[in-house]
Amino acid sequence: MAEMRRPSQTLAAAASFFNGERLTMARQLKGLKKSHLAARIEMSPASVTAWESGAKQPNRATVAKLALALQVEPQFFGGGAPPKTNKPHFRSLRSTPQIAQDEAEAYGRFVAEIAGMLENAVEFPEALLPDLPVDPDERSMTPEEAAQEAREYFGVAPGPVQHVVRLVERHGVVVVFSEPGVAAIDAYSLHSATRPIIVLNPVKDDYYRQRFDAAHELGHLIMHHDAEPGGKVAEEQANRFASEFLMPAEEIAPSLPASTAGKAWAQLAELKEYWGVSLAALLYRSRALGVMGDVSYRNAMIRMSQNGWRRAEPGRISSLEMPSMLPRAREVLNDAGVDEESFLAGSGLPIGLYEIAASRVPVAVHGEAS
Amino acid sequence: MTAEDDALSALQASGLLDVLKWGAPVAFAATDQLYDEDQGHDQGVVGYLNFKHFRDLIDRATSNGRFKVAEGLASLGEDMLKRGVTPEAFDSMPTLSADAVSRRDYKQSPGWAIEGYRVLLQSYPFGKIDEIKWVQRSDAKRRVADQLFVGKNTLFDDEEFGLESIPGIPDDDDFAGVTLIAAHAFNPTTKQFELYIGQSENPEYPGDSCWHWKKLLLSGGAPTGGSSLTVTPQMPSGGASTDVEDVPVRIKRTGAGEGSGAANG
Repeated sequence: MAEMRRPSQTLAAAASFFNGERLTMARQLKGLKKSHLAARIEMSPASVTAWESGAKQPNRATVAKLALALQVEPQFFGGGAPPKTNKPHFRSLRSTPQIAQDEAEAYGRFVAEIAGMLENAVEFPEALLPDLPVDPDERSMTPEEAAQEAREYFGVAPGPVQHVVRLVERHGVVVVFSEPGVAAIDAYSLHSATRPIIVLNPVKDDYYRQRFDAAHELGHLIMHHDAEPGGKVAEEQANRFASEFLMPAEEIAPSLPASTAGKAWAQLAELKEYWGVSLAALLYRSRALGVMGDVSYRNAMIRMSQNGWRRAEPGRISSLEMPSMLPRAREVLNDAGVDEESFLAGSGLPIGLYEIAASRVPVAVHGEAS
Repeated sequence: MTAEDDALSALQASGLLDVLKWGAPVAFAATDQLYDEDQGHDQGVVGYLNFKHFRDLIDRATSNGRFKVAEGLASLGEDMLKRGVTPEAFDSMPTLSADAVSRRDYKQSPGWAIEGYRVLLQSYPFGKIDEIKWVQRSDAKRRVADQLFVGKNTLFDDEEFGLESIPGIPDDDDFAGVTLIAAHAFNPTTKQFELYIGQSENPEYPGDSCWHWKKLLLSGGAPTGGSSLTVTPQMPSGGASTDVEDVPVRIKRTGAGEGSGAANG
């Protein structure tokens, strides 16, 4: 349908309704700095800044160049202000370059926009997360208490959480894989105006660790609505939340080994499958709960390293937990005769990114050179 | 009154005991902020950071070191004092007059002195308070542990021989008084911490204590873990699995096309 429209007409509309914030979003989605974009279209960085801030409007020819350089349809720039999201919680803010943070944040806004568009056509589960703020000094509540309350809120029976991704999806959280290109960043999460979003790292190809990541991000969404993102305290609190959420101390402590002597590794392997957590997480849990001493823990970690288990642990389940909300919506639309192109046509959003966001499995890298 | 009681009441009266009890948890929290096992940090880093933080906080509260007040001034500016601590920590800082406690270092080991007593710092791994080997720590700590302990039941009292017993570190003429140790421990994994004050001792025989006396000033952050029973747990069915249904997603009956984006014109 987009092809049917006369290009000049589309360009004219895009130039008239040009929104600087959308240029920022498109630029960040491509992982470009202003100066890089300026070089690509042979204009000055000051011009890019002026367009993005809204101080100046680019002309039709420039809009065409921008669309080409950023691989979006021209009408993308005229789609109104992108959805508002808060700053995402990144695992290691200090080691994440600003450009990668911007890209991740822009992808989060993109997912929020896609989810909003889909929600015009389909019905999603209602977004219902408990709000249990935990401040840095934990005066109101500890992360462990928040995790216990969250389990109760979600109606999780004593024992393991069967499927973390599905549990949060049922409560309205959008779970997606990130683009393969931004693999430097771990999982992250953000609140948007409509729905909370969890973005999973597609490269971390480990069922057990992915579950922990999802629980960690759930912790941020529940506890750190107002918290300054990226702080070490908040990150550690999210880990403690995930530990308690997936392995409640009361239930798991009696079965954790105090050392890795004897049949302890076999016991840990069984616990791993039952609770759906990594050996590393179980060992850390043993230590943090004071069941295992520092020396035994260190020995266990050395053994893990020697066996190559810190890179890849042995485990029975090899497929990841898969998101279903956006993929299902895409399928439902397809069944109703609305394909990807016509769904996105008016918005100018890139199809490639939509396919990544609405995929059940991580999309493989295509050896994209940029 | 025992030597312990004398020391504790003197430290209490001067305010130095409050400073120690205030500074230790603040130092531990600051260390916790920085400690990162993923960067290779270990117990050595914990001890070093705790020491640096603790020393700075004691100086801050007692107007010593880099917080020394210039002659003729009542106090340092608040902006200077507030830099580097959280507002909560600053608000709870004990207020001592600038001359209540003075710095009296011993062999490059920072020490804080009041009349008759001086306190040095020592870190140790959490839970190992009775296993500190002073001779392996430093020359300063070894010598401090060599101090005469006045309260000790000796067979013959010095005075019976007409000798005057002088407390303090042998051959240290700079400070007249007993040098005590504030021993601090923090485990960033379990968040457990301890603070002791006491007089150290080099054990004469294996199995002897490394303290003439010690008193626990603070402890906390107990792990929530229960007893360790190495029994194979009864695992009911219903563990983690990938066998789940999709979330329900239905197409909206009314205005199904409006979100398709095709409604552009």
